[in-house]
Amino acid sequence: MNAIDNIGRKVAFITGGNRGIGLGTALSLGREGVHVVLGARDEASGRKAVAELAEAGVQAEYLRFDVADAADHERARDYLDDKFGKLDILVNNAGIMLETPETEFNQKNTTSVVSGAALRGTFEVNFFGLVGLTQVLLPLIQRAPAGRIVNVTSILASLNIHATSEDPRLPNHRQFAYNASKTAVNAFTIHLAKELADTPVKVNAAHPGWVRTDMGGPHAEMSVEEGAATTVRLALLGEDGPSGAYMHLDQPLPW
Amino acid sequence: MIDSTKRVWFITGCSKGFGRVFVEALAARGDYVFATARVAQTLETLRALAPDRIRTTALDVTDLASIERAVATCIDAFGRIDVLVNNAGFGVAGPIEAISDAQTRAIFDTNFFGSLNMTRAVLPHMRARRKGHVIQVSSSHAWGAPPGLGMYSASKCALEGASETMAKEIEPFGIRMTILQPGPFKTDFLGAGLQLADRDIGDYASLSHGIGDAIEANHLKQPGDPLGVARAMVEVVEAEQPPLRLLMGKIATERARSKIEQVSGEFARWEKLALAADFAA
Repeated sequence: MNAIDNIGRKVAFITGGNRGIGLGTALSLGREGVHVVLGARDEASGRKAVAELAEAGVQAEYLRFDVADAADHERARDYLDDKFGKLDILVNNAGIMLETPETEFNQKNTTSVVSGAALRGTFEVNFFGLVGLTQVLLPLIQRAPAGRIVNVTSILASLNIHATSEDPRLPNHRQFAYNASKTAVNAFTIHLAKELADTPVKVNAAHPGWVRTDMGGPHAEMSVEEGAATTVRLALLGEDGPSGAYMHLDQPLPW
Repeated sequence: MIDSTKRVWFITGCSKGFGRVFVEALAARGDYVFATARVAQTLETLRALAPDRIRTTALDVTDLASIERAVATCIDAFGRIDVLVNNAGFGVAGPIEAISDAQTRAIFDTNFFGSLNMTRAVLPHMRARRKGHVIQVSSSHAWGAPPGLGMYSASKCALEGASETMAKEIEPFGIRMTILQPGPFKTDFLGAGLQLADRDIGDYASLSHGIGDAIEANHLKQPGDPLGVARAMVEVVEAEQPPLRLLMGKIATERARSKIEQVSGEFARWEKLALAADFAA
């Protein structure tokens, strides 16, 4: 296909789109006719993902991209601007969790022991990288007729839930650096949504669910396709959809 | 008396693009070519390529009298027409709603009625000899077009629809029909000849912008080589069993395949409902 075949087609940039929920999102969006650009650090897996998507009839491409590298933000912007002149959908999906059983941290609650390095490392990717990229791409998103920004956070970003929920699984998931970084992204989501309230751009946060990915592990509840559902929904919102919402599927979550 | 082992080709729209390349390629093969265009002057350099085998005349395919005169002149000059190549045509870009009724009729006048009327004018001569070949230069966009090229696609769909059935009607007379479906080819299609929708509708501003960008990105950068179509056309005419349709270029094949998959998938998903609409047996 060429530029003529892409007239009117939406373009999505998915960070961490080479695997996990990012790849699942790419597949679902691609099936809706969206042209997806996968941003990821690993070229081999990025190209493999593009090939898999092509086999599923999805038009996709790979862009070498590290969300923690500000120079990559500009490179991504220039690439998307040159090629498409706009960006319809930004899926801020790339994220890391540095607190794992493989490190010296106790998996359950890391608050008193998590190192400054782990905290900073987590925030560098999950928060500073995400915010910086979104700021750099915003002018391109505003050029689209109905820009959509989806921040993949987590139910673990919810202060309300940590404070009040009796869910027996929760005590195993107080990874402070990860959770706090996601809470910070939730803050970014509301603040940006308010700033853009009078524009066609919508900004929302997605809790994917517990998903069987490298991060979620093989015992998680949801498949990748199910896990991508919330993100896809928020990426394809119609004109009357929400902005500044924090959602799991069609359910709002408490902040 | 002309050489009966060579073919006589009647081609419309020869001033530039595919038409010009067709004339050049066919002249090089030693065939006879009746090359036409709205403005005869644009054909002078073509005539010079092989003055004894190339004749030119002004022809406006939207004018029935002009068609009649041109066909008569060709028969006078060469005694027959072996192949009619309906190539004259142009594009319109813009949302269908933004193309006025007048502009719509103008594109159909050339792309559909022009080719249809040319075919009707030449068929009696082919039927008399019980042989001939009609080539419709259509487009891969007859398989469907992106937003912005729908009206062009519609004009080609109309031509293909008529041609596909006409092919069956003229087959008993030994006359063959082939529809060429080129993808993006390096011609002036996206240049001066491309009309833009003549109405401005604010809601389509973003789409119009995208259309403009895509045109600029593609103009004269198309991957298709018109000479490749000329060669394919010769092969098709010489074939024992020519195809009804011939896609030209890789992008054309991708567009067609994509459409077939989409239609097949949708058909399968809705087949049950489709079958429920008949009276119970």
